[in-house]
Amino acid sequence: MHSTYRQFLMALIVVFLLAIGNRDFFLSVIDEWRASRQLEAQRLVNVMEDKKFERQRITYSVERKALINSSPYFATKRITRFNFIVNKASKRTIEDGNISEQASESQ
Amino acid sequence: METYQNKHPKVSKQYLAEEHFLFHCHVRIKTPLSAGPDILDECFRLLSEIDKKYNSYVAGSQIDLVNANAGRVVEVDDTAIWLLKNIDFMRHISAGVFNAGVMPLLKYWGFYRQEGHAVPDLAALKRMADFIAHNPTIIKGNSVIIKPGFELVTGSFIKAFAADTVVNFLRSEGVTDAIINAGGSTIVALNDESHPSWTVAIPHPEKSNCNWAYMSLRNACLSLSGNVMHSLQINGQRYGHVLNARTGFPSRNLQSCAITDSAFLGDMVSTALLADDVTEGHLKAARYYRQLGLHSYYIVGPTCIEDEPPFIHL
Repeated sequence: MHSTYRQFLMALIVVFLLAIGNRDFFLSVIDEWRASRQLEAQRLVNVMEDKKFERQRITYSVERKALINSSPYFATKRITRFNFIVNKASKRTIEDGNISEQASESQ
Repeated sequence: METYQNKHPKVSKQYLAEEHFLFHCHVRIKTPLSAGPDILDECFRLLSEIDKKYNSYVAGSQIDLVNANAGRVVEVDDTAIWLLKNIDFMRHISAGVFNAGVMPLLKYWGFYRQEGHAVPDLAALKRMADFIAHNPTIIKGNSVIIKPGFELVTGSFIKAFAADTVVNFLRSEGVTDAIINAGGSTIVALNDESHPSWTVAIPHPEKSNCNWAYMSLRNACLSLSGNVMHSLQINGQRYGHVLNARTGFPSRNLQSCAITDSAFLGDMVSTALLADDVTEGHLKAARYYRQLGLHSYYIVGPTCIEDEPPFIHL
């Protein structure tokens, strides 16, 4: 929505500048906008490289008519009330001190 | 029977409990929640280290190397020497009934075979028992040598030694309330004023899924040995896995229990008490055991006639 508004504004400026005949000013605004977009893209690339993001190649499959990501991936689902204690490799529990310990002759 | 719960107020504290499979059994440790999880992690790290280094059943352990190199000198560390000297001392004071070199007898009886069980030749059994009795482990400095044919088995004491090590660690960290249950047969209780004692349920020697006593344990170890769970059936006769090393025969006693200061001593004493089914030698030996830290014990003979554990308090 924001982007559409900006494009509309740009078009109005173009019309306005063309109307008054100042082409250089029009081109400088376009260049500045492109430069800011490039800077933003480069900043994102730098952040991704710093965080060691994995880069995956997405290709378009003509047969399936869809974008295919051949890299293995997972999707994070929303988890509520996750009990980290029972999901540890060892059996760690919280108990009270009134449970009797069972002796056994077996080992 | 009056239980601990009826006599003592309940404990309001919460505990972290964790169980791992070590020493061929489930080892469970409970420490106060306030002590934090790192304490438990360190306890199990200690247990795992002892299992790897000194358990005769673990390939590459120091005791396994002594067995694998029978007839040759093997260098071991100070802890292994301490263990070997103590088990030899127990062999001495139990008049040879307890012997950690009992493995050849166990194998001869077929406890490590799945089939082909038969009562061994009595003359051969006697020769083997004599060989084990008269060829102890020779220790000089950190060098150890056993005779070919001799084989040490740590099953009767290694997890108890590990439990003692954990108790020492917990005390050094200021933890004064905890319980260590190693396979049910070795239970060590640590107590302070906030938790005067732990309750331990003792299974009936003959009736399955039935406890015949609940006892409170306070800053002591309960070691239980029995001959019912692990036994061989040969010609309709049951032979338990605890052997009297002097006779070479499986003990006919059903159950024994020792309450001691140290788990290491407790496990060896309960094994020696169970194994001694021929003489009244345990009455004499109990005097020595008492000096070492044995507080109470009982032995259930071949037939259980008691209604409750026949504890003898020393």
